[in-house]
Amino acid sequence: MARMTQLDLSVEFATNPEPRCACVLLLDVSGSMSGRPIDALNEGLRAFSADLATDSLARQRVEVAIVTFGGAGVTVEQDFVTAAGFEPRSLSATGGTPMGAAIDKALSLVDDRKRQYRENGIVYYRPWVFLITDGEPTDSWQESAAKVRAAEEANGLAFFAVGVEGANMGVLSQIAVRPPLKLDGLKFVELFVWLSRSQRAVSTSKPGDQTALPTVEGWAVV
Amino acid sequence: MGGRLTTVPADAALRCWRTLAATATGAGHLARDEPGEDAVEVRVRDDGAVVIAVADGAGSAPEAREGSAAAVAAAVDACSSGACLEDAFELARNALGDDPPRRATTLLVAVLGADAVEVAQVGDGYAIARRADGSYEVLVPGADREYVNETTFLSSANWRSDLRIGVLPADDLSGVALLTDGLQLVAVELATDTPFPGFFDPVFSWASDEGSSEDDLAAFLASPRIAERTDDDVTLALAVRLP
Repeated sequence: MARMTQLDLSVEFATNPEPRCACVLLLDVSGSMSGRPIDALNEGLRAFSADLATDSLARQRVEVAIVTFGGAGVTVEQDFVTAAGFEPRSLSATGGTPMGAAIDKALSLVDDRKRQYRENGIVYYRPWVFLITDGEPTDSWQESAAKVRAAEEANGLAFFAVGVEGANMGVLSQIAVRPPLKLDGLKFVELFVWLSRSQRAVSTSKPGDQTALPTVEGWAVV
Repeated sequence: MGGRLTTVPADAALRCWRTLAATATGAGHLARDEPGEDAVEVRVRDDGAVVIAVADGAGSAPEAREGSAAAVAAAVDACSSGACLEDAFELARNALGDDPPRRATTLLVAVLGADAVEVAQVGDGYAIARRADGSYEVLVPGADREYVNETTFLSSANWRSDLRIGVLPADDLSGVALLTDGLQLVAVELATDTPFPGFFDPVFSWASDEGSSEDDLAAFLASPRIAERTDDDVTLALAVRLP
């Protein structure tokens, strides 16, 4: 046992930064989201933050950014922050739906973040972009959709699209490679708890893991 | 404890390397009451050279434990009977059976001779050399992968394109360590892919002591200090050059 103590006491550990798992929320805050939908979305964001905070590894590994699109145009509401420091501000809704420009912004945020990871010697997981909308783009979106598909093809990110009641699911299915999911009513809390659980699973996955995402039955129209 | 461990003593006069190897099951598996999926095997050849193989079975593979055990057994058998590393990897791949993805595993093999150290690798994990001057070197550079949770397995269709082989003259080396990726967060500075001296200096110093035992190494690997940093299986095989 003495030797054990010697080895245990003398060995130091490398201090590597935690691997990072970037997640961009791409949120529609156009006029049609005002009222109950935006309230439910805000409640969902708080649930997302709270659920991530319960996971000691995910707190340090998952990085959240929020891009909103609405009457004020495209806004980086929250630049990347680790889940431990993520405190969502309340969003308000007004105006149009510049979804194409918002997608471009999300993709460039992801590219910039990856570059920062590499420059700082931080290893990372495949980033997620998570689009939520209740409408359809009021700007040009076809080129943005092509960029999403190219990025998916290159394994550069995983893009998810969720349509709230009223969303143009046809357009969403042309943007995302994965079939878009339809939110059941205003179950934003259930949606964001699912997203948190998914990010928790990804951010602790090891090579060869087929990361099993939780079922979407609690919030999506199946 | 997972894996297999076999040490066959050879003629003492021929031995040029002393080895210590152990594996510990990660908290992730322990919590689900599952066995570890790492494997390690060490054998001393008749000519005094030492063959070491470590493997990390993939978490999603239904027979990961069998895969890592089969791979190290086949590789050590092959290298012990004089096969070159390329052939040893072909035999290890064949040992995964008719449906290799069911037994997905990485494989890292070292042959430590009196004159040369040869290492070959498919997938992640590290082979690290300690030079006589106390500096360290990664023996086989890692493959260029973007994401931390991706690797190529011996079971992959394209495994040959990931087979990396390195050879170093042995006379400049005082030690060699093989480890699975469960240990990399604590033993390697990932930003620069550099072995962390604070980890390896005391480990090699300890391994040079004739009184050190594999039981102690296993206890260290299973210690709470390591479990706090990783929930993965951890395997460490150490070889120190005998004077």
